[in-house]
Amino acid sequence: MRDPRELQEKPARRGAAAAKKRGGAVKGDAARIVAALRAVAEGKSEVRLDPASFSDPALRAIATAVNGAAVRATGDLHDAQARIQLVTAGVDEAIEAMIRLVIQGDLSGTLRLGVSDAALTPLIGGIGQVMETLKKFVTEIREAALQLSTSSSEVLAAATQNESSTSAQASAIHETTATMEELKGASHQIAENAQMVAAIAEQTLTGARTGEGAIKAFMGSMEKVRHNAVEVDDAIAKLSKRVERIGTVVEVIDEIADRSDLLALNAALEGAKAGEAGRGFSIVAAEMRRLAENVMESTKEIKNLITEIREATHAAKEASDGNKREASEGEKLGGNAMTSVTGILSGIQETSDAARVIHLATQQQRTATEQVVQSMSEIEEVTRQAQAGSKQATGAASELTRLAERLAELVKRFKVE
Amino acid sequence: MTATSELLLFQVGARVFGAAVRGAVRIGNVRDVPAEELVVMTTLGPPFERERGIVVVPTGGGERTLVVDRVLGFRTVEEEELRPLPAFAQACLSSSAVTGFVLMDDAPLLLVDLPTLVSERQ
Amino acid sequence: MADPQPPEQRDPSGASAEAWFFCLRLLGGRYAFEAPLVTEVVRVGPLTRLPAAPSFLPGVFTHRGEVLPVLDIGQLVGQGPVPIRPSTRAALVHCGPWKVAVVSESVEGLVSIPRRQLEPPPAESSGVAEFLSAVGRDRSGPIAVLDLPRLVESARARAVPAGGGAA
Repeated sequence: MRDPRELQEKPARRGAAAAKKRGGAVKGDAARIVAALRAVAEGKSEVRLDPASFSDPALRAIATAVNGAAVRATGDLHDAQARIQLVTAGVDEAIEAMIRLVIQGDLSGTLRLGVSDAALTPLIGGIGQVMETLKKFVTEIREAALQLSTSSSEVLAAATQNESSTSAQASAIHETTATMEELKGASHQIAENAQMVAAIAEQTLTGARTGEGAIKAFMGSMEKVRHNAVEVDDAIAKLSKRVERIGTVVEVIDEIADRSDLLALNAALEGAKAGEAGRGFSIVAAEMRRLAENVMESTKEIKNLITEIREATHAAKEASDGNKREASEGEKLGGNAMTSVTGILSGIQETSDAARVIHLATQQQRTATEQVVQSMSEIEEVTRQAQAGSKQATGAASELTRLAERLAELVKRFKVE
Repeated sequence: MTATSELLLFQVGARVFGAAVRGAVRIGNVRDVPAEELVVMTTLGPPFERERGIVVVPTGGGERTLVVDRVLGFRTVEEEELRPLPAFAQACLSSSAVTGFVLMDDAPLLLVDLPTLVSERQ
Repeated sequence: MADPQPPEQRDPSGASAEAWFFCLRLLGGRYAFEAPLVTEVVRVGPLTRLPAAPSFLPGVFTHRGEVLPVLDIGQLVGQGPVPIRPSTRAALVHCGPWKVAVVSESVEGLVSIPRRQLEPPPAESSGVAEFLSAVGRDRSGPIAVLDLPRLVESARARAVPAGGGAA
């Protein structure tokens, strides 16, 4: 291939050989044109022919046309190259924007490219959509994280409160149970004292039977004692068995002890009036009085305990208003009995029965007390479970709060405004 | 056998008194006694509480309940432990309910006559 | 006790020139009464108050198994009670049917006062003065002589205004 420049060199040879080689020159010119066209076809669009170097006008025109075509091709090539560079630059920018998005989380702007080219429009549009979608997504997550944080704080607060109130309830109930245990012990005391009264009455019964002759003289006056004891039995029959009425039971026991005291007093009075003959009975009566006083001491203690139980139960939201029922017998019980004491044997028998009934009553009370202790244990158990439950709730709520905070932190990285 | 007396010991206010048992009909509560039969204030002074009543037959008949704080019990005393009220004291007291003393541990315990006591209304 | 009088001072009628009295300190002064009225000087034991008793009868006490009433002259004449302590001494006196223990601040004991030294009491009859039978002096100073029987009887009369006490 001949160098085109070589074709433009040697202007001196043109004139001299022109005429001689006009025929050969035409061939040569045509060959040049063909070479130039080949060069252009091969992509060397910078090839140019010098039309003036063609002697033949037809070839000259062709050479000009070839130049024109080469120039056009060069232009087209430059255009294409320039366009490719633009698009490449635009794509690079878009990639950079995406990278920023990922690394820095900056969704605040819209994608603006320094270059504009129709081929880039769909790309820009697509990226823009992605960013918008991400913006929305992040905004929603942020809001959700905020709500979550608020809700979990509320749950935590409620769970903590619940935990402390179940804790308070548990300790109040525990106190009640402890006090009820003491009550059991004190009522045991009463039962023992009542048993002693019964035992002494039994002893006296035996002794009285052997000395029946002298004792028969008191039959008339001991009738009074029997009447009184029957009315004491009536009082006992009214005992209620419920936990809320333990206080009333104690009141009645107190009444019975008081009646026993009166019984003993009046028996001793009659014994004293009869002088020597009543000596033995006076001693028994004095002993009964002592025991009756012991019972009343115990009931005093129980009454104090009952007051404590009532306060403890009230604190655990159990109302325990006891009615203090006044026993209605009053003085008539003792009075009527005492005006006609007859039958010392039956009198002692009735006293023994009365003591036995006191014993039974305290046993009933003990059963009721045991039931209360049982119920209290059950309530305690339930309360413990509630406590455990609320502890769990508190734990879960704190965990939730922590997660909400972490989420909020994560989402913060994304700028959306 | 030395002669003895049976005494009923009771407490009114801060003091303990004694009385012959034959003066007491019975011992009871105060709650259900009609007000007109109650004797609360006597020459012995008022009781602190209304815990017990000693039923007594006053000189005019019927029944009265003397309100006392406690009935302490009974005591057998020898006749020689009893002392009458000194004449001068008897002459100066505006009540004839106090009849004498019983020497208990060398300290005189006042003896009152229950029917007289409840009949002298204050 | 004072010295017994020398025989030459005896009055020819047989009555002694000196009178014997029993003297107590009381109400800040020296008071005496006829010696034969006093049977004994005692320490006042713990007092048992009597219900319905007048103010001059603060109570009774036991002495050798006997129950004795106490007479407080201070309260009787409205000059405040004689303080009664474990060490207080009283003179047991018999005035007719009445046996009382007269409390005092202190007991002097028997004194003799020359009869010529005894004078009628002052005219004022208020307070303790209304019970005086005479005033006199002895070696230790002035003495007021009480008519004790009259005093005791007056006391009794004052105690029971409406009657119904004496059995």
